[in-house]
Amino acid sequence: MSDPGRSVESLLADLADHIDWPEPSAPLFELTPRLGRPRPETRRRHRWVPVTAALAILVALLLVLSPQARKAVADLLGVAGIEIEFTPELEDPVGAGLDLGRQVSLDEAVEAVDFPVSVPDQPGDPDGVYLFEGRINMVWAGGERLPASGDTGVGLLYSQFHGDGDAARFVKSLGPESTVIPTEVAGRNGFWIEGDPHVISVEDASGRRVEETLRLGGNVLMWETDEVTHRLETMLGLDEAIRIAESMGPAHDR
Amino acid sequence: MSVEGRPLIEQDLIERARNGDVAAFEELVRMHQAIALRVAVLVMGDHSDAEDVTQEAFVKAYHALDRFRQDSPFRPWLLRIVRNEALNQRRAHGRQDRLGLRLASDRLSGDAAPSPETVVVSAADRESVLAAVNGLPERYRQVVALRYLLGLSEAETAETLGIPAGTVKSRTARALARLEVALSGVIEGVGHE
Repeated sequence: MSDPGRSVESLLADLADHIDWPEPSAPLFELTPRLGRPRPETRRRHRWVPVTAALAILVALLLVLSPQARKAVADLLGVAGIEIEFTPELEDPVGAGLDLGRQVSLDEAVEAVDFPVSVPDQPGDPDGVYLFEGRINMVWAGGERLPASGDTGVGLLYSQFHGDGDAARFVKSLGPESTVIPTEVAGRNGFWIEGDPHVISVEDASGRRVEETLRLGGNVLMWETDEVTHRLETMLGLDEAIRIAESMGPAHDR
Repeated sequence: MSVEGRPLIEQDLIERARNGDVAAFEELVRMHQAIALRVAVLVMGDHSDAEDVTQEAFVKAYHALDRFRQDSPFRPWLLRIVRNEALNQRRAHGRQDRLGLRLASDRLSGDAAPSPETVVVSAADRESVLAAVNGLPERYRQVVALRYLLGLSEAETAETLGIPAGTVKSRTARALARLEVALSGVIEGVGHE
């Protein structure tokens, strides 16, 4: 070497001094107008209270009226073009009984977390989206192609949350009846867990062990992308689960 | 109570911002806005939209302050939010992962006396180094950019990228090895002053 002072590190240090970085422009960080509002969770809750109350009154009203009167009320409210199906009792939203968190829209979920959110291309948009402490849970109703789990009515549960990028550290212990099969999802390491595991013990980014309760009592596919841990719970087999996992795309594209 | 490695003033600002003090949060923004913007540029690939992304990330960070763990460092927590916001936006706009960093044309060009540790690098060599960094696969490029171009520590890089420190270490080693091969001519001074 003609110049022993030259190393990759020294060349990178030189480069660092010569990059054309943008300078923050003054108006960019005048955030006060946007920060002065209440925090989003509080705001959303309050915003929905009157809407929910109004809906409850409307539903109660419709239920006690005769079919003709219902139609008159519906016409009066300007919703005649919408077909309202009356069922003996109001059904809970899909996944409502699974303790998955607060039900939100997909947009709200994307807004609320600080990682890139994925949605599978198949089986299509989720029937329910729930948010629990930075974790997004999406559910799909059971059907012909998605066998439902027991009496939950749920055919697929997809959870995503911050991970540490190392799938090998995932699974620490399982019940004796369960088996773990290492697999790959789009080139990333993952695990397929069969045999009705109810609880799995995983290690989080700080090395802390966390007990993960499973909801559907089916099979589980877990994998990680750079910063997100993904988990599918399904009655489907490995191949079909991987097909769903590999159809993931960014929620923003939808 | 003092958290090791974090200036008391920052700790105080975080606490006040958590309690809804917008001015305190804006002070935090001022402290970290330059490096946040650079992280956005690294993910977005160039300057366009980087300011919008950074601002959006700051707003998200403000609303996420309740989830910030007081015993952990603030800067990488913030940079991780910036990076994720930038990734979301990049995907939303269908952009490729590419890095289009440019060299500043008017800085340190001959008029600054280099310190003894500084190597003298010609503009042409510098372009080669930049091209080699730009040409790395993204997983290596991001680590190199955060460690060497932004000067983050290994731990900060790990936290910002959301990967274990060991992964940062191994990716850094592999990235440097690749650069060493790609830049062997520059390192040995072949073809340039």
